[in-house]
Formats: sequence, structure tokens, C-alpha cells
Amino acid sequence: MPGIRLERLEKRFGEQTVLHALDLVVDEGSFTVLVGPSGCGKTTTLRLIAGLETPTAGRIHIGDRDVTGLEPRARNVAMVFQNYALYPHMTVYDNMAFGLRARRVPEAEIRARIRRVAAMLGLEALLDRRPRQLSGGQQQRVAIGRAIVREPDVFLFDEPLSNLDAELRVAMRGELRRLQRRLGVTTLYVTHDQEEAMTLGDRIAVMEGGRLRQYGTPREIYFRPADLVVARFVGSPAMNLIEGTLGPDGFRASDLELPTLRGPAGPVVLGIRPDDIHPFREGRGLVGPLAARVELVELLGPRAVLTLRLGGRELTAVMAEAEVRDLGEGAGLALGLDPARLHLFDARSGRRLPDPAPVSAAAG
Amino acid sequence: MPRPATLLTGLVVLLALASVLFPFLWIALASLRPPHLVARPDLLWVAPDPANWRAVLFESDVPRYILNSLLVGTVTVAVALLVGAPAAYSLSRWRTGGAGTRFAILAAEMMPPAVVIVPLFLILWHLQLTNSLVAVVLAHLTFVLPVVTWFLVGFVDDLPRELEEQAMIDGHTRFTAFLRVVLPAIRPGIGAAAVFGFVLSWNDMFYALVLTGGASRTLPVAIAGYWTFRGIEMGKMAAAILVAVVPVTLAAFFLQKHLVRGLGGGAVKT
Amino acid sequence: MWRPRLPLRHRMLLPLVGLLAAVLAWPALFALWVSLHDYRLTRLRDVRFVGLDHYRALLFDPVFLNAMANTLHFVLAAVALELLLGLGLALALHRLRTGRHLARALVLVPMFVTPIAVGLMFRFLLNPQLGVVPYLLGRLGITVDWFGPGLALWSLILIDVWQWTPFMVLMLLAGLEALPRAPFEAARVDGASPWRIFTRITLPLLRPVVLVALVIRGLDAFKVFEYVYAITRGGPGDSTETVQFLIYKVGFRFFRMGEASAMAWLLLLVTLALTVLLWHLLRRREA
Repeated sequence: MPGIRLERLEKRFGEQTVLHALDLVVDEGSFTVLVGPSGCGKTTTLRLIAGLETPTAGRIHIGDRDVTGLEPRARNVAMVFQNYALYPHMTVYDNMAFGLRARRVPEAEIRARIRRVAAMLGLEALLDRRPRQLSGGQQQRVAIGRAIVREPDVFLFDEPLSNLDAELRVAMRGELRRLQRRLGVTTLYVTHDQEEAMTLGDRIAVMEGGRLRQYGTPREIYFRPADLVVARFVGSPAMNLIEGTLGPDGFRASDLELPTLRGPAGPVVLGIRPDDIHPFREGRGLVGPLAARVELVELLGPRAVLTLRLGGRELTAVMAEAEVRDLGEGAGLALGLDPARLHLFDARSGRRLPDPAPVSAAAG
Repeated sequence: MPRPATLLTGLVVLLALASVLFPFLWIALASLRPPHLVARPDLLWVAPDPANWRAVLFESDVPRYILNSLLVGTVTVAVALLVGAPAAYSLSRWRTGGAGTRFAILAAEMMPPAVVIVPLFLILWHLQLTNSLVAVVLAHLTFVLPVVTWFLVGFVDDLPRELEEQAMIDGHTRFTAFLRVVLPAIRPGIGAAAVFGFVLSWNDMFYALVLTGGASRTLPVAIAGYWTFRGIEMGKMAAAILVAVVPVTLAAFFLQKHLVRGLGGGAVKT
Repeated sequence: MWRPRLPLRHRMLLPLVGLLAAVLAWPALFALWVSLHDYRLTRLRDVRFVGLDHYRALLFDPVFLNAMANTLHFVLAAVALELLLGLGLALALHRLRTGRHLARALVLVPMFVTPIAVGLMFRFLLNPQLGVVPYLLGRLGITVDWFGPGLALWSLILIDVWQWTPFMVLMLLAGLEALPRAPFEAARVDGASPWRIFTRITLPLLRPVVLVALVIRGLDAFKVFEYVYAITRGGPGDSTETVQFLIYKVGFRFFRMGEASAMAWLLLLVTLALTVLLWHLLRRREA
């Protein structure tokens, strides 16, 4: 299975540059997710690979073919659109057969392939229906099935789950993942939903403003965000970001001092994920204690989201329900931070700084 | 006890229905009267007599005029669809020529026939094409073509682009995707445009009056001729009117649903 | 061999442009040329250039001015009545619960009937000797000479209203059905009266539909010909002579093509000016 290679790929619409010299290698057989806020260029990237847009500059390779100048039909890719784009005037069977017929695959083989894929997706009973007689989830399956029967080099997915309700979305997510593993086809998947990206992708490319911000495994993206944009975008609730300065005597912000943090001097932003804020306990290697006040407790079953006030700022923390059971709103709480999980970013460039090395685990 | 507003609503609708239906009803009754009783408004009911219908359908040239009208309408609509559909696609998808073009199409439909009729007549006269159905087809294209195109632009607008894009990824060129996916997908719109275009052609009298004569007359021109024979022909005129009206009315019933989308074209979202 | 490569978008549009140029643009320009000449079908060997003479003459020609005035009168009165009646009827149909689809389908029928048939139908129905309407009114002691002097133009307007109010109903009803529900519910919650809701919410939201409907109908009404041809032939006197009918008469009864073409171009200019005016009036208030 060929991979995809983008070289200095650029797209301008008139005055507006929606994609700045993008370099990206999608590994053979991998499930790679393009994620970012709307307008970040992810869909444009997908459409460039499909051949639906023409790049202003740069090259696109699928396997060892340079497909930059080829028409969509010559690229041997399959795409699943957000609105599914099922042909309304055709039955499910004909929808799935359409691409194969266009490529003059013999009818007998078409029938065999559709039968196989329909069994895989549980579509057997729907083959004679028309799209408008199907539920949203069923249409979604047909769209995916139509891509699979093509047996293309590459699958391209453009937000395929965003029109489904929450429950179905989670179910389809798992199914998509399993299907892709089983088929082993190189897959590029576009979404604006970071949670979807984290659960689906072998690798994730975070884009923003037409640029690639970080490209890595979900683990790398979450635990070592390359810059502030990625740090803000990934994780829910969002990472707490505190502006301050780093000096010889550690990190200082208006109402927070962490003397044990070390790093290059200058203005920085300290990032703390809500999960890395704990009630302070001695002997666990936590930085603290920091005296905070509980403003709001939102219970999510076994876990709780806390809105805390620390001096003049608000922090969000996620803790086990058992740890906050007795805390009412307005209660005081001593916080401890996990020093190994703190993120420091250069305030000017937004880039990640080397991990802050605490001098000692003791409180300062 | 219904509320006064509801009562008023019902009353308004009943009144409207009565004023719409009464003329047709009276004409229908008149067409079934024996010739000497047609001019007797004081008789509300006369035993039906099919003489007028027999005369119109079997003893006159009306069937030939019907055939002429059918032929003109069919050919006009066929040409309009053939030329209008690709154009509508281009206008909808690429906004070819800018936003002004689609309104230029609408404006073309609104061109007063008087502007076109004189030169059209002269040109066809020089080509010795007057008194032939070709002339009427060309004349009817002046308004059927813009209307059909305007209709189709609206229907293509409503079709998601992803449909063609999918087809292109599936192995088609843009043009074959248009043929294989876009056209079948807007079939209801094409049907509506065709029926509406046909109705316009079928109903036209002005162009046909100037450009046809004798055997090439269309039905409306033929109907216009009936009054000249005064009272005694009224029953036949009534029958001929109904012949022209009934098929179109039936077509219109099937058309309604798509008519607003079509007339609104690119301007009204429904 | 040099082969021009046009993009597909232009290739798909080209047949339309070509055909419209052949059947519309070229004739229209030819008409302009004819209008600058003394062009008579009876004297084709003697076509002389006369410049703007026809136009100059027409601007002071009482016959033409009368026809133009009749046409404007007809268009304004008919379209205004159609809008008002259409709005009322659309609102009523919109409220109707039982038989809604049938009622709507029946109400729309007149707009599909060939106008010449409508004209002849009403000529028959309103005829003082043969017609059922004067007869019934007579029984009530009312005598109306529908096509007599003074009333004939209004009778034609009435016929136009009968035929084309359904078009307004069609457009307005679609507009009403497409309106979002939320503003109405919000206004009801706020305690606004039905009249206030109608004037402050319904009408403003309907404006785009009204605009399109007015433009289409207005331009169409300028083409009035069939009723005149079927019933009055311009009479009594010249009280119902419309421009379209006058052009027909001058061009195809008297064969004076030059003057007919000049009239046609003047008619085109007037309709164009009115369309632009209407468009701007209604657009401006939208802001």
C-alpha cells in the first residue's frame, strides 16, 4: 500500500493563502488524522490530494507516482464526504458499483466485491434501497462501503462522522478504526474534533492558519505539544496556560511562584493540563502546596471538573470524585502539580521549551 | 363555534375558488349546448349535446392545430433542455461571467416580444421560413430557452457539489460526471422545467399569430379565429378553448411543487 | 494545427450564448437598425435612413403616448391588485387546515391557461347579449357595460387579475411556508398583536419574494396583447390600445416596420427603467 508525500504544497485563493508550503509524509498503511480549527487548511489539503483543487505550488506523490497534475479519476483514491454525497437517483448497490463501472470492472467481479463489503458493513439488506430511504448512520455506512469496494490506494475522509449523533459517532469511530486495521489501506482523515483525532489516528497532524503545527503520535501531541496552538487545541478541558517569566529563581507570575522550575530566562507560558493538578499530599513528588479556592464542582461520574481560583486567576482541574467528595463551593484546597507533566512555552514564539527540570521535588 | 378569523379564511378561499371555477364551468356547459341555445344566458341548464365537440374534434382542422402546437412545444423544449442544461450547470457551479449573467438570462426572458418580433419576422421572411413551424420554434426559443435555463440553475444550485466530486474521484471527467450524476439527480427539476417551458410555448399566441398562417397555425391562433363567426360558433369556441386548456391544467398539477423553486431560480431560497 | 482550448465552463455555456445571440440579441440589434430607417414591407426597395426621426416623432405622437399611458395604467393597476389579492389569498390558504392542497391546486389553474382563451372566455361571459354575468347582474337591477367607454380598460385589468393573481399566490405562499418559525414564536411570547406580527415580521421577511414576484409579473404585464386582441382590438376609440397591440397593428397590419421597431425599443427602455427603479426602491429599504 502506497503512502502519501506532500512537498512544499501551497494553495492560494486569490489574495488569500490557505496553505503555506506544507510538507507531510503519510506512512504506508497508516491512519493519519489532519486536525485543526475550521479554516486551518485541512480540508483544502485533502481536496488537493484528491485532485479536486489545483495546488498553486508544490508536489503530491501517492506511492512513487507524482499525481500533482492528474485528474481526480486518475489518482486511484476514494473519498468519503461529510454529507456522504450518495447519488440520490441510484440504489445502494448502484452507488457502490458506480466507481467500478466507470473503471470497466466486469459485472461479476463488481457483484462479488459489493457482496463482500456489504457483509463486512452489514449492508446486505439495504442494497436495493435508495439513499433517501436510509437513516443517517446507514448512509454513512454506504458511503464508506462505496469507498472500500473501490480498493483504492488511499482513503480520504472529510469529517465523515460530524453529521451523526453523539452515540453513533463513537460507535462508528471504533468501527472505522477496526476496518482500517483490517484493510491496511493508507488513510487520511480530516476532522475538527480533537477527541476524534486522538482516538482514531496512528499519527496526527495538527494544522492552524494554513500551516502544520505538529505531526506526531497522539501520545506526543498530548503529552509534548510542540507549541501553544497545539497545546490549546488538544485536550478537554483545555490546558491551563499561565503567562510569567522564568529566571534564576524559577517561574514567576503575578500570583504564582514556582521556584523549583528551571529553564532559559525570559517570558514564558506555563501549561498545566487539568489532569495534572492534584490535591497536595507530601511525599508524592508534587510541586506545591498552592492555596486555591473551589469555585465550582461539576461531577462527571467518577471524575469531577473543578473550577479553582488561585490568586487572581482561574484554573481548571480534573480530579477523582473520591478526592473532592467533601469539597463544597468556596472551600479552600491545597494544590499540588505533577512536575514531570508541566509544559513551558516561549511566550514570544509560542514554541515549546525544553522540559522544566525542577531542582528538587520539595515545595519552595 | 369557529373563531371569526377561521371563518373569514374559509370564506375567502371559497370565494376565490368560486371565481376561479365559475368561468370554466360556464364554458364547459356552453360547449355542451346545442348551437341555437348557446346564446341564452337565461337558461342555466340545458340537456347536454355533444354536437360542438364532435364538430371541433372530428369535422374541423383543430386536431391539426393541436398537432402543430404539440410539435412546436416538444421541439422547442427539447432544444432548450439540450442547450440550457449544460449552461445552467456552468452558471451554477462556476458563476461563469459573474453574478450578472444569471440575471441577464432572466432579463432575456423578460424582453418584450415586440422588440424581437419585427426583425424575427423580417429575417424569417427573407429566408422564406414564415408560415412554417420552424419560425415559431425559433421565436418560442427566445423565451423558453431563458426560462428553462433559469429553472435549471436553481435546481443545480440545490445539488451538493460533492456529488460530482465523488463521481470524478470515482473515475469520471467533469463532463461525464455532469451527464451521469448531475442530470439524473436533477431529473425532477428537468421535468418541471420541461413542462413549464412546454406550457409557455403551448400558450403563446403573439409570435404564432405573426409567424404562422393557414396550415401552420398553432392552437391559440386557431382559437382566436372562432369569434369572427359570431354567436352561432360560440359552442365550438367553448369546446376548442377547453381542448387547449385541459391538458395544460393537468400538467400544471404535477408541476406545482417544483414551480416556485424554478421561478425563484437563483434568487429565492425555498 | 492550432486548436483553441476553451475551459469546460465556457464550452458548456457557449451553445446557450450562441443561440440566444441568434434568436434574441441579433434580432434586437436588427430592430434597432430598422428603427433608424424608413422600413416598410411594402417598399423594401426604398429603405431610407432617417436617424432618430421615428423616435422624435413618437415622443410627440398622441397615438403612441396614449398607448403607453394605457399600458402603464394597465400594468400598475393590475400588478398592484394582484399583489394585494394574492397576499390576502396566500395568507388565507396558509391558514387553511382542511383541503389545503386541493384548494391551492385549483386556485392556481388560471395562470396555466393560454391568455387568448381567457380573453375569449371573458368576452363570452361579459358580453351584454350572450353573457351570463350581465344577465345575472341584470336580474339584480345592475347594468354594466363592461367593454364600453370608460370601463373597458378596467375590465381588461380585471381579466389580468383573474389570470395572474394565482402567480402571486404561488410565490407568496411559498415565501410564507419558507419563513422561519422562531421570530413568530418569539413575538407571540412577547405579546405582540397579530397585526403587529404581520406588519413587523411577516411582511419584512417576505420582501425578497415580493420583489422577485413583482419584477417577474410587472415585466410580464407589459406584454399584454391577447386580451386586447381577443376582446376590444384597442377600442372603444383607442381606450384600450396598448403598446404591444399598437406595435402589432403598425408593424403587421400597416407594415411600417421602422416605426414599430422604434416603439418596441422605447417600450424596452421604459420597462428596463421601471425594473431598475423597482429593484432599487425595494432593495434600499431592505438595508
